[in-house]
Amino acid sequence: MNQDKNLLTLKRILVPLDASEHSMAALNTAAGLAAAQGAELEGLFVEDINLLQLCEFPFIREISFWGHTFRCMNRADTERQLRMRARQLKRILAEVATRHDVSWKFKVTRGGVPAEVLAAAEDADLTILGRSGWTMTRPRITGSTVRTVVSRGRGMTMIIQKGMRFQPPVQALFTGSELSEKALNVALDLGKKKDISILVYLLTDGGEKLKDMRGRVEEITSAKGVRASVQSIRAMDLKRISRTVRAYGPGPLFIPCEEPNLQGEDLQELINSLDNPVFLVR
Amino acid sequence: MQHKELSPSQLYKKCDVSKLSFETTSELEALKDISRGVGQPRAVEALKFGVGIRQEGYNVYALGPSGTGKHTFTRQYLSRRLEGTPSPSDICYVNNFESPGKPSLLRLPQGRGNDLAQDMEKLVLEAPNALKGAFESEEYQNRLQSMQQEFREYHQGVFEDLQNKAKEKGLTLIRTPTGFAFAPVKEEGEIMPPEEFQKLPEDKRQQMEKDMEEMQNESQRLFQKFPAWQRDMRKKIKELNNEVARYALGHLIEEIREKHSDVPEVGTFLDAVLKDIIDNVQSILESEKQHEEGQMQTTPLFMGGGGGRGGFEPPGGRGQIMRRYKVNVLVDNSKTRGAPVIYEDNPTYANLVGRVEHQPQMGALITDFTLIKQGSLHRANGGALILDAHKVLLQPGAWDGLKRALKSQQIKIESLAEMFSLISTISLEPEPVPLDVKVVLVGSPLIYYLLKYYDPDFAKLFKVAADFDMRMDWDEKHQNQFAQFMAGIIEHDGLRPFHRSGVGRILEFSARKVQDQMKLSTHVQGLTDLMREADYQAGESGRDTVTDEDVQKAIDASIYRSDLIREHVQESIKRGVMLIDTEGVKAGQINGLSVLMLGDFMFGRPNRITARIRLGRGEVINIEREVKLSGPIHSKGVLILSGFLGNRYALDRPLSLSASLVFEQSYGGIEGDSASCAELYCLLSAISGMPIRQSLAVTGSVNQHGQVQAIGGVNEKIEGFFDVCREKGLNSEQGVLIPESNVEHLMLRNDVVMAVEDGKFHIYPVKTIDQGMEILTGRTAGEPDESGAYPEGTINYEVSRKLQELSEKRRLFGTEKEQGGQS
Repeated sequence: MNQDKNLLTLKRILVPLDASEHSMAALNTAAGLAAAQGAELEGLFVEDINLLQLCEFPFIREISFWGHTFRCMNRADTERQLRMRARQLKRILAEVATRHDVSWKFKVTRGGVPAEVLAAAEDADLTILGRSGWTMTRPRITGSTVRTVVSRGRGMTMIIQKGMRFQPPVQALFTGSELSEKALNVALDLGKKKDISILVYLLTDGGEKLKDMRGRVEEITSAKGVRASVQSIRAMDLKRISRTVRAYGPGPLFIPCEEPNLQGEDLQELINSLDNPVFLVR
Repeated sequence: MQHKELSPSQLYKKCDVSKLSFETTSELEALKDISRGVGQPRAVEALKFGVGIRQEGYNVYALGPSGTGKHTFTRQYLSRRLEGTPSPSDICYVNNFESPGKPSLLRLPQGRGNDLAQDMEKLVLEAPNALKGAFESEEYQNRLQSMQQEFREYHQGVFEDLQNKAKEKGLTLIRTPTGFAFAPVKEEGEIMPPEEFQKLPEDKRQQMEKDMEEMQNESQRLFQKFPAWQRDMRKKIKELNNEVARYALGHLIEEIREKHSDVPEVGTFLDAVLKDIIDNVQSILESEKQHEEGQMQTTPLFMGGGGGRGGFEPPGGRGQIMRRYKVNVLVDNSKTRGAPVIYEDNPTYANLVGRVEHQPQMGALITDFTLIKQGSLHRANGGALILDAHKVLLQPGAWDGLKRALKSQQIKIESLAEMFSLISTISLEPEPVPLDVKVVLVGSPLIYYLLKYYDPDFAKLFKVAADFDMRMDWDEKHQNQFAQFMAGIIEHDGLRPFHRSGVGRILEFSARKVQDQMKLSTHVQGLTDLMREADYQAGESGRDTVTDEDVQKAIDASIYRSDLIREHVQESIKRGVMLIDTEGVKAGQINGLSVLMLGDFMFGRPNRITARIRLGRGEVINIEREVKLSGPIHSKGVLILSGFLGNRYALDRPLSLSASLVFEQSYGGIEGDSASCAELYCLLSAISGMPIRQSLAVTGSVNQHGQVQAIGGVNEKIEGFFDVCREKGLNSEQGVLIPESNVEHLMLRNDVVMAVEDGKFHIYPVKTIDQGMEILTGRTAGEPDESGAYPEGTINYEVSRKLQELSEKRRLFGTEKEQGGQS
């Protein structure tokens, strides 16, 4: 990220990959943004240490989806399967990057998936994650890696699910804070480059502050040469925010991750309630 | 010993044109249909019988010499005979959805095949859009998603239950690359590393292991229900698709069904179509989508969809998937009036019984019911099929294929290449078509008799022979029909009208063609050719009508174009290369006459025949036979001579001569017995020593009683010798001896007739050898007295005396030899 808070420049976009449909949606979106920003695309595959540790338990059995049979887990087999998965993902990454004409690299690490993703995200300007991995439960709930990155991540993060893409309208939450101005600027920059209209939600109880916030939004948008629509939502009603955002369409929502309501469990709940891509600005 | 010679009027039958009731043929009613008469009553009767009788095997073989108009005659007769009879139904093939390799036959009333094909074409175009509209409707999507969601929720619910139960036991559900597993977790929720697990108390570890086993069993129990759920879900989705597809296509199908309600088979076909569309609706929608996106893929799709029936569907998009609902109209009889009469000019096996074509696709040859092609048996079904017997027999498998179809009374399309295992590729077994056809084979008598003798099936399948005569009586009735028929040809070919003199000349030529003053030729092809050529000559002369002069020019020109070899022969005789005497007398030498055939051109020429005798045991040596240049009939003729000599001159003593006969300067084979007369005259001259007039030539065969018998080619033989004599100089002595029974066959050239009229050339009819010998030698033959002896000075006396002399010599020779042997 450039030091100038008003100018978004992405040099490195990280995409953790696990071959799930959500991670493939993340890859495609990341490639599109990398092409628009001239950024490098970095794929990351984590060989889950938990899986390898499971192989050490002699009594643990792997259950197949199709045959419904039990199978002893073997470390060598599991490692081989993980290597195969890594090769497959590298090939997919190469194809997508070539299609979007962006430079790319692919990294394989071993460890706990959330920890490895968090660590890699430290060096990235933006991390784009699939909403969940190989989930077997209800997809609306985000996966453990996403939950970890949402709660402990420090960089910009985008969460996306299958079937979604970076499409109009771009929506942004604005609280009047410095971070929300940054989120608005990022939304404007990304939206502008893709020529997408923008809708700004002013989170306030009304009164004078609303007027100030509206004025500030106009200032920022004018400076970027973008005409934005503005709508106010009373107080910090996350359910209402969710309803409004969903009602306006499938475009990405830019959220400034700030205390007290846009962090932690509240933020997690807001993300869970939305199908839209979510862009967390920190 | 006066011998009559023929008068000029006996040498040629002139057509009395004054009896023709027209000036030119334009006044005549043209006879275009030769089957309405023109001298083939036997053939007409046979065809009438063959077509009329409905029983199996009464097909017709029309036999006769080539050029007699058998094809035209048969076609015209059958067309006329079958006109007004009911036209057959259309023959179509449709896909057999149960077994795509065996396309189904669909027969529709005349002209309705194309209607149904167009209706199905419309369905093929409209169905994808109608289906797309219905399956993309909100109502359908909602119902489908609701079903799918139900299943998803069930699936997720199962896992959530498992997860919750696992959590209660201190376990978690973890996804592995190829399935999932239960793992122990720490209190914080993280997966417990193995070393930590090992540090747990023994009872705790055992409990966790037991819990894990329980969870595994529980998951297995739950998973076993998945297939049944999936099956139920698929069934529900299929029922939904069925309902929606029926709704979308119902009106299209019903419209067609109503239109063809009088044909129950169409209803059955439409039911099958609807069922198949419903079964394959996803493939159709997918191809429609690809079509719209312009992404026509080349990946092969397979028929049968979920049904998995496995028929091959050619790759491609919408059109190719929907192709199986089309109708292949094999025979469209919409324009047929009456029962069809088909002539198959190229009767290959495939052209007769039809074929299944293939298309190359991705390196393989594929096919389907739309590539079934008709054969002439399909087209002629319900009517008649005319085939050239020779062509059918020449084509591999055609004759057997035709017989199989006639015997089984059905047309079964089979590939000849597959029958012989020459190729191995996907092919079809179309449902056989019931066959009801009269086959008329047209061919030569030779083929007819060969088939009759060597093919036992032939007599069972072709019970009717329509025998075409190559000639007809030359009477007033036929003469008039002939003129009308000429008028038909003139109209058909756009020729100039023929003046009656031209018609007369053609009638005369026709009689000459069959070598008979009482007959006319039925050789339609020859007649047509001559008329065209005469028309050309008339054009060259600037005439509007064709006269006898033009016909004569056409005949002369035709002969000139063909008689190069004849000219060479004549020239070599004139220049003395080939030795032929036309004057003087010689013993043991005679001018025989032979005929050479070059295609359809025939000419006569004289041959010198000589005989030499010596003491022997009664054998007549045919030198030609000794060197294998004599045909069997010629050899037979020579052997008859020994019979004649022995019977007449050596009843009471052995025939003690050895005679040799030879055709001088003959280097090709000799066949026929028309020289046997000449050979006998020559032999008698050699024995008696009486010289023969070389100004005469002889033709005719002889029997053991010395009677002279008719021969063929009499006109050409006479003309051949006349030409030689004219070249060497006519001296009023020259002439030809012919069998008396050949007199009616004379249709000689005008120059010969004129020479006879002027007394420069003579033609003598001969009944017996004695008559011939008298003419040739100028001596009396002599009749035997009561004792069998001939009057002195007669020919037979001299022959008898010489043979007696030889017999005596032989006896003496034998006695001396015996005495010599004893000493």
